[in-house]
Amino acid sequence: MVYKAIIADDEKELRTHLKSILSEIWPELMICGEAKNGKEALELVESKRPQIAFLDIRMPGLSGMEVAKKNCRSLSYRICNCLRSVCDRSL
Amino acid sequence: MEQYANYFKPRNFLIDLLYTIIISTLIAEFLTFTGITTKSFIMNLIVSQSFGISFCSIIMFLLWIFKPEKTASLVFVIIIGIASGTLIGLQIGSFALQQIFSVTLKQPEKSLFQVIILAITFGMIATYFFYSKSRLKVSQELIQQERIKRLSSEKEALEANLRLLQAQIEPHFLFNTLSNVLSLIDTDPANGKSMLMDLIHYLRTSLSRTLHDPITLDQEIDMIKAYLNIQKIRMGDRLRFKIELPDAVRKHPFPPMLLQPLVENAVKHGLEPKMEGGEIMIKAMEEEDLIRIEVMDTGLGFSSFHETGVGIGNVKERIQLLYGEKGRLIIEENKPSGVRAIIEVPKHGV
Repeated sequence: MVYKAIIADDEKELRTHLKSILSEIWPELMICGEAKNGKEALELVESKRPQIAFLDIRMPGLSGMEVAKKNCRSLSYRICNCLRSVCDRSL
Repeated sequence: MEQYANYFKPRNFLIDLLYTIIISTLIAEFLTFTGITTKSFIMNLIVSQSFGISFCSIIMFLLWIFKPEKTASLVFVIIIGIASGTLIGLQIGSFALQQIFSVTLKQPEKSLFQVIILAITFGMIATYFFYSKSRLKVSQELIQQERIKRLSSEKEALEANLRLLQAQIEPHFLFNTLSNVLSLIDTDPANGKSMLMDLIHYLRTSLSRTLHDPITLDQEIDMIKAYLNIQKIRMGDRLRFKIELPDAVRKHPFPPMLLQPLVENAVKHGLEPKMEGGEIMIKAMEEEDLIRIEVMDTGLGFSSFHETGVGIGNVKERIQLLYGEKGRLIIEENKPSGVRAIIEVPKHGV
């Protein structure tokens, strides 16, 4: 099964950075969308229905935590809220 | 006066008793030498010691019991002490003389009266000596306390500066910027290079200088530009900024890291959480005898702005330390949205 994922971060460079890391360590993962704020992330989760969502904690509009909470209740998604730690560890 | 009450401790009592014995011995020697009472040193010594020790013990006892806090009650205690000390000293002295030398003080009347007058006079002089001694000690303690107070306020100022320095090297900012640079190396090397240069500039200026070194306003503005350039790469179109720095104030001396926290606040609490971002405007101007710098943003405004935050509190504290009443920080709402922070500092230092 091919996993689908979205990436949400308000910083364009960090989205790019995470995408390049993911393509290296998990080539079969399909990034089906990018969001630059919480609102867009929520819309993407609803329209694309990815199995994985990478959410930045601090985003304008809606924080990554809020997006995760909204989805955890309605869907059985497992949502990784680890964009920051992934990026920090890569340094 | 409260300090005088605290002065009377057991240790002080022993020291003062020792002084009393020495003083009484001196008085006995003086009396023997002048021959006012008797030529016998031993007799003079016995009488003066019995008076001296009575005075000292009774006065100290009364001070310990009543702990007088006003000058009037202190004087009252001393008078009572000398009066009862004279009576008791007289009893002890005459008793001792009678036992050892079989001499009685009671006759003739004249010599008894003379002894009492001498005892009261010397008692008063000695009491005055102790009073000045304790006052000296109390004033020394006050000086010491003043010094401790001054030192601790200096320590506070240093700590405030240290906190400020630490705030500039926020790990999140540093890691975030480095992550950005790392990504830009692949996607846009030129931009990555300029971001790294801005970071170097920012770190060099904020870390290498101590906060007491005077710098010029344009040096502080340069560092803020580097900071804003870094944030601009992160936030893209969501951050726009404009800086107006007239030549007249460019070389004006200005304390480092005073303006930066205001700009950082505008970015962090004003624009970053706002979906569409906004603009930061920094304007420096010269007025009659002060320099006025405004930091305006079109961000979320007071709703997300922490006026009591560490950054703002620090700036306020430092302006107060540096300029007292002559400098100030004003934070108000910006029209139509956001926050406007204004720093005013005197043109000619303090």
